[in-house]
Amino acid sequence: MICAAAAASDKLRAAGRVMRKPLHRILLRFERSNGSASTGTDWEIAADRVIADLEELNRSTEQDFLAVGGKLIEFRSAARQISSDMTALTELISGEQGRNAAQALSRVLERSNEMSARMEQSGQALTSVRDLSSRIRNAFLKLRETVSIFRTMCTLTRIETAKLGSAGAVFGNLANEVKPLSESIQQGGERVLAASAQLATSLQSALRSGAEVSAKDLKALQSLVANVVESLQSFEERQQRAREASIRQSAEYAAVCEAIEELAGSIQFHDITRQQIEHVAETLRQIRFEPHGNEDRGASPPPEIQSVLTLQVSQLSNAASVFAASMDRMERALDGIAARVREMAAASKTLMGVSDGEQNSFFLHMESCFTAILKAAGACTAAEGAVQATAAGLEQTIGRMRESIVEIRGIEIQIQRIAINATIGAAHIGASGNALSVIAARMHDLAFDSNGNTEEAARAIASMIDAVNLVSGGSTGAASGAVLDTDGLFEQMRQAVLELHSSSECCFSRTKQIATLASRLSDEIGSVRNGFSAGTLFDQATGRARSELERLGAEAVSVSSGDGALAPGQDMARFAKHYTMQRERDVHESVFAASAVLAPAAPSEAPPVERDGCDLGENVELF
Amino acid sequence: MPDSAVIDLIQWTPDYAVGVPQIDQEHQGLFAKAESMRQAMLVGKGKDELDFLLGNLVAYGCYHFDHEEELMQRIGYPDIAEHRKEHEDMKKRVRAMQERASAGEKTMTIEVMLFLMEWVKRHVIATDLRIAGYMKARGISLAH
Repeated sequence: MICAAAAASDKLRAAGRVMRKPLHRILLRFERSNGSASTGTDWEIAADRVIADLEELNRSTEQDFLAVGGKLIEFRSAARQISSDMTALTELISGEQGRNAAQALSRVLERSNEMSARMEQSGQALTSVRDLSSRIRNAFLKLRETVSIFRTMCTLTRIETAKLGSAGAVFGNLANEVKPLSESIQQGGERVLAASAQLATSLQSALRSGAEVSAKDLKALQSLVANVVESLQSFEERQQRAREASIRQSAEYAAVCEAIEELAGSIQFHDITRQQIEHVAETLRQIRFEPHGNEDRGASPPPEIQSVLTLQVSQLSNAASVFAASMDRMERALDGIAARVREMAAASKTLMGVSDGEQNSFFLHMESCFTAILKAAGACTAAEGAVQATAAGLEQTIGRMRESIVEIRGIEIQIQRIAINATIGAAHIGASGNALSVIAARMHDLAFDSNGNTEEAARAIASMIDAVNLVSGGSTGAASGAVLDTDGLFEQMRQAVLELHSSSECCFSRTKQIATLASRLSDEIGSVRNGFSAGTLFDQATGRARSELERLGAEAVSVSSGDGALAPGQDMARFAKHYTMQRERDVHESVFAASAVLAPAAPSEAPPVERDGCDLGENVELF
Repeated sequence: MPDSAVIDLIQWTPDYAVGVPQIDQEHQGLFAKAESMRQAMLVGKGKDELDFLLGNLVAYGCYHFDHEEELMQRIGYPDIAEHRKEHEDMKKRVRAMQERASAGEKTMTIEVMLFLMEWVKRHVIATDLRIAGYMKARGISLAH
């Protein structure tokens, strides 16, 4: 605002001064100045060229700096974005999401261990069922022999009964009842043996399946879990390093943002030099269109402008040196920012192991671990399901065996009862019933022994039921084969792994984004830096203007020799009124001081430069 | 946490133009697919996009590679066999990834993304631009 107000004020004052000249001359000169081709004396044409050159310089540097300013705003916004991404990454690694990921991994480990324990338990239970089945088979191995003895006993009973005649009528039932009963025992026993054989086959398959799980998938799962634990440790270390680095980098990016902002502010030096150039052009225009005393000097510049030209040369020199120094600072600042951003881009990439080759990327390794865990856990769950399905089949078979054994047990008791009754009957007959008494006692003992084996089988069956229940998790649903993942173990593990994976893909994408943005920013800064031509242009244009003004000044001096021209420094105060910056006033004063030294004969005629008045301009220090 | 603005990082630029509008449009489509996946992964939703992306890539591989091969034949491109082999390789890889995804493997988004970036970098920016170079060297223009 101050700048605009000062410029407007300058223009008004300049316009006021111009309006004091005779109108027709002013119009004539404005026509000349606004015309496409410059007209006038040689020095006027030369001054017009300098003015045009300086104005063109201001236009082109203005455009360049607007473009650079726009780029700096883009850089600042890119740096802010990177800084915000770094904060987001820090949050992913160490914030709530990071904590969730760590918890998810702990859950994966817990579930793996549970799964492993369950598989081992199932294997042990099935092995015990196999052993119990073997005990049942052994218990019924002599069943056929026992039944055969029962048949023989029945035949002997019939023979002995026939010998007794009518007295043996009471024993007729013994053979008739025991024979079908013993055959029932045989049938029941055969059913148990058949079921036991079937059970053995199922067990063989279940144990093989279980063993395969143990040998392959379970071991693979355990090794994968170990791998993940190792990865987790590396992940945790990396998290720790990433957390520290991302906090550091976040601060550095904030510093880069500040440096860019500072740079954006510092390019305003261009406004200082632009005004200096503008004021020089203004002054040249003023002396170019003002009437001068000696109209007979031909094409030569009027002698009174010599000191003004000297002052303008000094202003241009000063502007050129300010511009060059500022450009140098700006280029160095840009180089510094670009290098810093480049280093940070590389650091961001290595931070999370995003290598150029990518195939060794930490994230890719983690991802393949997650996939392998899910595969192994899936295979374990499928195998566990198969084992449970077998267990459900076993329960049915064992149920049938139990029914047969209950039946056998009943028959054995029945035979024992019949045998006891026969023994009592034989005792009533007396000595002739001795043979039958022996047969009845033998039948009783046989049934008793058989019952011992049956009880042994019944106990084995009870143990089998307990073992099978253990395999199926004691669930009634297991019997129907419907329960493959009773407690959702696999599902919980799957969810935890998916959560971890989501967190990894976020980190991966965020890290890539940071690295890409940083690398792009660094390239763009480098490209802007390499595209700088304003310094050279400024130097060339001000150099040309200075040479021309010096030439004109020299001509003015030679014309003024001996004709009573004004001393150097004379009539300069009015040009000082344009100044808006201390720098211009300093240059002015130094030129004035030099003039005073050069022309000690006319000190009283030196231009009055009043510090406390407004003769040195608005005294507005803008920057 | 300050939320990041949406930034397009995988961008097609005219520097990658082969000079054949149809091919260039299809390349832009590939960049857009990759960018869409990147955006989804940035918020941890890559797995939701996986099936759709791979389905798209399988279809894209078929028609885009066919168009490129037709172009190479038309202009008499000398390295057509090598280029075609690259196409076959990529098609196989995409199909294999799609099969894995269909079988339930979802934790493969980083692998898919790296594959896509390799496709963009190696195939579009390197191999396909050789076709553009060949056309330019022989003054072949198929801009319309």
